[in-house]
Amino acid sequence: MKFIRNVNWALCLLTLVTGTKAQELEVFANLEGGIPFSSSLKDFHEELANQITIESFETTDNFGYNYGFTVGFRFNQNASVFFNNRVSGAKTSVADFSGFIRLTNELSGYTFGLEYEIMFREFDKSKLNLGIKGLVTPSKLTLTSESNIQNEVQSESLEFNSLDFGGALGLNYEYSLGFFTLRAHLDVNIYLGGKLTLEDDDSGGFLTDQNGDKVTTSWTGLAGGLGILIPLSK
Amino acid sequence: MNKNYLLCLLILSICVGCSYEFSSDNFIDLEPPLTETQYIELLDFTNMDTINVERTLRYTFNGLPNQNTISTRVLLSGQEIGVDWEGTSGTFTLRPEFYQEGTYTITIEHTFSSGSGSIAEQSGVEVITERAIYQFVVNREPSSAPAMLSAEIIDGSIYLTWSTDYGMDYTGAFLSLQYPAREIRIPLTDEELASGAYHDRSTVLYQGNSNTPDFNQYASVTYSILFESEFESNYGASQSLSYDPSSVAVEIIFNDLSTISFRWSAHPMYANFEAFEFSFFGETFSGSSQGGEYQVQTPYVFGESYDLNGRPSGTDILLPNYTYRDVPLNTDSLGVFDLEFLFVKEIVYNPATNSYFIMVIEDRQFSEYVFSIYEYSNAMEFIRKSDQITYDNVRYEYLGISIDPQDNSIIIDARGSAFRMNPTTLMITEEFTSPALSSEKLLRGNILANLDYTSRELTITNVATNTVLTPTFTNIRSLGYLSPDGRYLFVYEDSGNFLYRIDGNQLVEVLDFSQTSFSGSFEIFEDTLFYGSNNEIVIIDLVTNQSTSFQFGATQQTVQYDPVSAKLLVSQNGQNAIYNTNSQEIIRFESEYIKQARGLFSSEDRDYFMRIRNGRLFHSKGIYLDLDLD
Repeated sequence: MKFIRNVNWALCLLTLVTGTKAQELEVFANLEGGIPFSSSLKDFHEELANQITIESFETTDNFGYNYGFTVGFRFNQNASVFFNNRVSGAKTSVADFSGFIRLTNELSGYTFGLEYEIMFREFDKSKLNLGIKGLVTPSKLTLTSESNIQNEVQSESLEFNSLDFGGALGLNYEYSLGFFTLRAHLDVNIYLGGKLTLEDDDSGGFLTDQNGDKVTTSWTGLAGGLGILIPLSK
Repeated sequence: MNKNYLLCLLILSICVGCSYEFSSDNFIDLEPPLTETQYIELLDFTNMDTINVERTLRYTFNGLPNQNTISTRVLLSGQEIGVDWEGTSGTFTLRPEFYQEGTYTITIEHTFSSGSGSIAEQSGVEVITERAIYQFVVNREPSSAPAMLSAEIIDGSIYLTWSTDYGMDYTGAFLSLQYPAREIRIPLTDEELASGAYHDRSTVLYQGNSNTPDFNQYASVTYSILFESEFESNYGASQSLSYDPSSVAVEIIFNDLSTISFRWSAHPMYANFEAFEFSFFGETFSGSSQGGEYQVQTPYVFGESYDLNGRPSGTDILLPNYTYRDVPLNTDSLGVFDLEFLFVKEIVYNPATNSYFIMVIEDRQFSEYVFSIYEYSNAMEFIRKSDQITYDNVRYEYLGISIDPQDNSIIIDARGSAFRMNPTTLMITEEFTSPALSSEKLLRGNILANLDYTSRELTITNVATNTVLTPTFTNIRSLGYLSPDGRYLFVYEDSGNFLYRIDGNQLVEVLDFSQTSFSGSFEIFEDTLFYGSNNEIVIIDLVTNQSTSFQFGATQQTVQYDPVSAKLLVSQNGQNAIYNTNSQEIIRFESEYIKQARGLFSSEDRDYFMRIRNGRLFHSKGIYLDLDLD
């Protein structure tokens, strides 16, 4: 996994360096948000939470959405390389005068992607592109159980990693404002989820649900973003 | 914009990334637990209570409905003891046998969930421990047993009452019946004890003979209430009952000269048993505990002392036999007066005074006897006695008294002396005395017979006229008999045995008894002679010389004639017969004749005798019977 991560970093840096030598280079940054179609993590969290039989132990977050940001470079207005960081989470907790019990699952995804855009329509100051993305996402799931009952503090965390591969198809809308361009996109991400393996454990074990099925990050879903695009050179 | 700056910004963004912002915790607003309304209560116990028997105590925890017991324990002076907990209460047992006397502390610790519903409670860490501390005193003694207030015999049964003010610390309550040698304990239920009364329907007190072991072990009983603990016991104040053997009065009912009945009174506790079991000369009979009468089959021996053995039968305890010794005679059926301890020599009746005179030998000094004449009323009550008269002779057998039928004076025979005593004053009015062993005198009427032992001459003198009757007898062997009226004289002469009648100053031979074998005494009333000869009693009319006889005895028959009843009493060694001279009817009966006198006259006073006087049959023990004169 470390090897794949290092390769991706190298590839990203290489693309970035190569891009700077292209004829036209733009940098862009987006704020991202997404809604997963489904997630085995969601079921996993519910299973986990149900094992704790404390009254009013309620789930308030359960991978219902994710958010993050994207930065990247686009070359010649049709090829981009980008880095996307998205987070999502689940939380079940209860608290009263005597303390709290908290169970959280935090999911972070670091996506390295390539996009190729095809102009679909062009307007006066704007245009609409059809984009196709290739995605490699190393994910990290942090499972944390915390409690503080009558000042008796207990905390335990487990970290799981996975490498997810996916692709996306979407529309990019750009509106030029002179110095920079506003940019919005809406994509459908399709991932093949990888196994979530325990960090620092070489036994080959991975996270499964109560049925013995593997639990995946499943970033699959709708993803949208809004940002700016700044040309660096022409 | 500087390209390098943007590049660095991009790299920094990658390194920093972003983190997920979780929603706030699900906070539940609950009230912290309060303990004001929860408490432990030890039931039926007051601080510093005394524990003297094993006692199981119950305590309860009064908590809120949603508070659950986690643990409960009881510490006794710091040491945990066992507890049975169920629901909302627990029990533990104090066993004083494990402790010395003293004060001990009970600590009840009850741990329970707070009931607040908080996370801490649900996690089992929000618990509350309530404590209650008590002290108790170990006293191994049971409560003081109640005092017995009364033990009374009512209507032949025993009723007990005791105080109902008593403590409840006891393992057993008993009614204790403490006899001299054993104790009987009757368990009492709480209800019986609380009633304060008990009807003892089974206890019968009785006493055995004092010469038997444990004769009085059931003669008394002490009632008390006994309280027991596991270790100690104590008795309350007691009440006692005792049995007095004289409380059952036994007497002999004289039925006739050969049969008697025993009569007994009710036993004080007659309602607690049904019957006595009596035994008498091998004959056993049952008699009611409420008293009764029973005619025994054993023939009565007149004057004999009888013992009766008896004991209550059918009782829970085998009671000893008691011997009712010398059972007294019923004085309604026989007259009784006390001559037993007197050396009685003779009993006579004086019609002039309607009283009885008894010669009693009172003292003996060397060769002298001292006697007095006692006077008894017709009811045989002692009236008085004469001055003592000294009889200067070693032969007490010669002492005797008779009544002069002419003037009813008392004639006293004292061998060498003869006295006449005034029956009214009991003073000697005439006295004829000669040297102690030189002669023998008999005074009857006005006739004084004097036998000189030395010359063997018998002189008969009319003392009224001071005339010596003729003939004067010589060669006399002994002076036989002089009739009470002085009319007949019987003498033993060398030439034979002759009965003379005194006519004026002359003695006229009436009968020659030289060939007659006398075996008993000799008595003449008016003109009738009675005497014993061999195996019969002979009666001769001295006027007509007609005689009759009947079989009785063998030798030494005593013959007495009572003119009032016209009955002849003959006796010999306890065999007796009363012969009715009118009807010739003979009643034979036995009498007690061996007297076991003690003291000064133990060697002389050896025999009882029977007399018939004035229609009254006497036994010299002091018993008399008025004969039916019809």
